Amino acid sequence: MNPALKRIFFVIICTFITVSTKAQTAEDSLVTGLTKRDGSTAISGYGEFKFNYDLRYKTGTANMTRAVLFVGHRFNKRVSLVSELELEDAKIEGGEAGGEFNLEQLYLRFNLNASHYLTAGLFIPRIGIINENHLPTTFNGNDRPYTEKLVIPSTWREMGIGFYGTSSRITGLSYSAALINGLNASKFESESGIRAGRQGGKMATATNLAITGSLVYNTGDLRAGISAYYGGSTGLSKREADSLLLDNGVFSTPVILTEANITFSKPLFTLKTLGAVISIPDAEKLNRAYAGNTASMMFGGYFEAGINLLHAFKHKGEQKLDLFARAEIINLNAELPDNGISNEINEKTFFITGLQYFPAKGVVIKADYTLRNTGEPNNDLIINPFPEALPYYKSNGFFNIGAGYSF
Amino acid sequence: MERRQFIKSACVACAGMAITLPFLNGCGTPAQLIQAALNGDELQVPLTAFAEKNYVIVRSKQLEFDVFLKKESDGCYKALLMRCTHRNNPVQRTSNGFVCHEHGSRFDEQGLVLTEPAVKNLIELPTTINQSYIHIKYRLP
Repeated sequence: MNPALKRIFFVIICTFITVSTKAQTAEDSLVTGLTKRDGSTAISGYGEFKFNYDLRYKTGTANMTRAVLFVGHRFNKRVSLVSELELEDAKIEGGEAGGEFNLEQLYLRFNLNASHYLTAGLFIPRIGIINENHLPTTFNGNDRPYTEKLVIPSTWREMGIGFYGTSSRITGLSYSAALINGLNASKFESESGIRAGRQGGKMATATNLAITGSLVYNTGDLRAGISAYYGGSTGLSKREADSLLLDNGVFSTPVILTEANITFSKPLFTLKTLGAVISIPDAEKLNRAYAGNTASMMFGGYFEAGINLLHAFKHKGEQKLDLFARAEIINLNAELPDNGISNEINEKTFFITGLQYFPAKGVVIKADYTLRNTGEPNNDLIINPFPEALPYYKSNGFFNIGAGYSF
Repeated sequence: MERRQFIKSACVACAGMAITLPFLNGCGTPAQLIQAALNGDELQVPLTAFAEKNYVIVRSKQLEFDVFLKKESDGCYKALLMRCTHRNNPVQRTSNGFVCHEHGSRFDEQGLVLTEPAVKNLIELPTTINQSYIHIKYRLP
């Protein structure tokens, strides 16, 4: 080997060993050094991948859905950094659809005391269940609940400041509030609700703001939560807003989201339900300005039941085998303004059932079947009808098999 | 949008949060929270704290996390660090265990994992009884 190459190789190996040792030492210190260990760094992560088969079109896709790397750093007992870097769909290539490389979170956390802290930066507000708790080992099925994707646009993160706390007087009560940048209504789409209006910390308009708040109460095996979001959706200057006949202001053209959820968990079984409603009173103005066919009301909800089969058969150990079923109903054009166009394709129901096997803690293998039913698509809204486009099936089934990890 | 209007609206939102949230912490019945000073690497809790209850949550201004201290049926004391073993966030006491609100991990009364993503049990801290105090060793070997 060329001596120069040897030297470079040696330096790389030494650097790798040094960094690895430091990372290990730092991570260990978070676990074992409980006091006076500032400047320590922790690394963890999660990811998931799946094979999907469309039973109508007879097509299959295999996708590395996401891999997330968590890096946390503790500056001192008061201040720490939380960051999550996410790669979706394995890679990003210019000119091709799909793939995303993003910061899922990056915020500074300031501990006020042992039960209260502030966050500042890009973070995920506590709305619903999945938005905050979306690790693949914590939800049933290869896909997250559709209600928490299409109505609550998880994973929904914005720039802002947040306050989190747990009550020391009421056992099991926790609360949060946040002031974040609002949504961008110019990107709202009929078939995905407010999802495309998320800004995710990328040059977000911040002259429109939003406030969110949540209450979560845990008692025994029951967890009940409620949350609300109220935020302006047009971060425009007065001149721009006037030209589009829109209002301007911090909370102008508001989006209002309210949500409630209940989870009941026993070692043998889990029951879960969630409902969410979005109201956009000025949807008519948005449609006049952006022609996004935005609804003035959308809603969704689901009910899920799961049973731990190995527990049912008295199996002891860290392995688990869960059987679950979930039913969802979603309507993204529940109410339309006068200038809205109804499209029944936005009225969807889902039924998902499947098995989840946990061979070790932190690893899950998933297999599920999803039945999706929708209303009739509005032919007036189809730009390239059949035979240019594939036929649309109101009822379709999907088989998914995949795996996830979290450490 | 007028600058004055923006500042006014943002201030109203912040003031609303600042005023409302502390009230949430002020209502309800008193919890089992007691303050204890850190003496070296040890927290000292008087035995009298267990006169009318079988557990307390020990807090020290010098420490980042609370400690759950429970008197077992055999008369021994068990101390659990109230820190989630997943991402080191504080866990909250519930009526029959602990929950981490960050990612939903749940632990039972003994600190054993009930629900992932946490895969390790809560850390148990050594305790000793000396005269009229329970000593909790906060730093692990």
